[in-house]
Amino acid sequence: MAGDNEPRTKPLERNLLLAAFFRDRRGQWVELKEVGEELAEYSGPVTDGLRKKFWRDLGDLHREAGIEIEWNDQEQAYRIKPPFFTRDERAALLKAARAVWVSGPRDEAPADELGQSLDDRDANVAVRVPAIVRELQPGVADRRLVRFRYKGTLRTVEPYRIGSWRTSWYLLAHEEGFDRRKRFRLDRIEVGDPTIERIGEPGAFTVPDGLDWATEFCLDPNEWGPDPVVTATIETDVDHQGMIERTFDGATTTIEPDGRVLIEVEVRHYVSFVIRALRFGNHARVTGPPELVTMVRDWLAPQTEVG
Amino acid sequence: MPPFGLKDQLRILTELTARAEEQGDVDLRAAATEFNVSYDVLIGWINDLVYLERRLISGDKLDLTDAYYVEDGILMVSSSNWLRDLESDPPEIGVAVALLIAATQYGTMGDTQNLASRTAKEKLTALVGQTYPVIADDPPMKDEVAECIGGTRAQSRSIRIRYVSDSGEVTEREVDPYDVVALGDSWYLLARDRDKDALRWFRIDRIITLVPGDHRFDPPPLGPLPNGFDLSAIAVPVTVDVDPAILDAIDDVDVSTQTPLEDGRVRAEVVVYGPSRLEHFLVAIGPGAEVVAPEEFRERRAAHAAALLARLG
Repeated sequence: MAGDNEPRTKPLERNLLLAAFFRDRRGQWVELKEVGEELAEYSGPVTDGLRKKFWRDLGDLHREAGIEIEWNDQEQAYRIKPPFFTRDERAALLKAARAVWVSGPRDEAPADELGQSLDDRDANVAVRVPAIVRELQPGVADRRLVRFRYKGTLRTVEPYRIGSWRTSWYLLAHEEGFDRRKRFRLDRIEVGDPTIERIGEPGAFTVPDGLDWATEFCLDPNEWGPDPVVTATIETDVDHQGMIERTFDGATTTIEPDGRVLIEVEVRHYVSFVIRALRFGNHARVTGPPELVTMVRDWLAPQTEVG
Repeated sequence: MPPFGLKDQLRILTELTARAEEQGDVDLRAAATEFNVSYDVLIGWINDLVYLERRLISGDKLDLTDAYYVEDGILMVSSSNWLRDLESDPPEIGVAVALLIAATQYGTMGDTQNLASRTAKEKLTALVGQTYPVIADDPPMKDEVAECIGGTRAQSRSIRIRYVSDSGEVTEREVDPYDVVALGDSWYLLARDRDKDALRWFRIDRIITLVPGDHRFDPPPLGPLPNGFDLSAIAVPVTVDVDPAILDAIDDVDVSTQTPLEDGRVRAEVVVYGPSRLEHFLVAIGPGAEVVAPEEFRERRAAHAAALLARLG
């Protein structure tokens, strides 16, 4: 039972006082008895009733305000847990989040989470991340298997990492029953209920050492394609030269005396090369080697027939 | 109005102080309406926080009255959002991902990265189990374009750009440059096209040349950054039977569904944006694919394939 001198404090004020009291004793272990020696709301003999009231207040502070005051068996005392972010870290993140507006995985997050009250008035970068990342990321963080339907098949994978290449987002993962890593396009994971199922225990797998993530997420087929390497030549003009160079990493360009622009590209994935070269329509023409020119021709010729 | 228990009160206080920190201030009358609580009741809760002061039994003083203040019904953070300073729970994982991506991208944007931003990123990386890459790399012309932005009114001057559109068409335009922003992985110039008298977004990596223009202009106030481009007006649904490996190699379409067919292909329902991308998609699916719907696209496919074949020589 609380002491006779307990003031008529409202529950909200009592909780705030409790948080403030532990704030002033950050890093210190404090017994309930000591709390009662300072705050009249918890004064008096340490009874089950007082403990229950104290624990209830601690629970409310944790659940509703994210402030956790932890108990230690050895110390037989309580201590406020350190903040996840320092004030300076929070300020740095808010500054970044004000300038870079990221939507998708945080769209459904509670309003009191960090950055959720910002608006995009000051942003000059907007990044849209697939919302499904919110469901996948715990598997990456906890090293827990996830299951989802992809291209009509239910897959169980070890999720290693999420990343993007150009405009698409991918999950790099090891799929059960296969001996190589795979990349799953996030926008092609089929919606289900749930879309992502986490299965098994955390720590179920280890990510192989020494992976170069930049390379793993360089999904340029010219980097990993299985075809024998050939050097393709694309003829274009100065106006379209930049676009083509950016499409094919490692391209080298020669400008001929007659003004023609010749761009050479090492090709390791013929199909992907043809598809991307065709994107430039009449502004680009594959002129070599003969086998790729033939492939482009064979790609297009049957399609000139309607039917 | 529903009765508000202690949990609701704490939650609302936490949310309002977070808002005050992030937005600068909170209109408590509007907040009262939003939370469906009377203004007087809300002010009562706020006062419990803003004027938190107590003489402890030992005589020491617990005083947090300098942290927040309220003036004319507006809540502001004065010295510190001490409630948030105590939060020990990590951010929710979706929020953590967003913050990490923002911090990583922001680190490339010219502002000095201090120790706090580095340690914050380290904590987020540990929480989500990975780093995230920079999303929007700077294109070659970005600095040159950015230098044209942000002069005083008297200095704001139009520029002439030579530009390649999405369809490959090259145009020369005189534009009033307003802002340089990134949407997704690309940087854009937001500018008024003087000939069309309309706001336009120009991908900076498609600007071929840039020279000063002839006009001065007053930069207008700019609205919020769009979350992306609304392409619904140029969205074209197409259904095709296609080799799934080829479909994977085509970047700029949205695939709605893929249903496996007995011959190893999939029936894919996709959305393509704009006529030039549509024409490309129709031939990119390759000779083994078929256009299922709309049927009229079969002729369009044939015509585009014939044009490209003629160009090949």
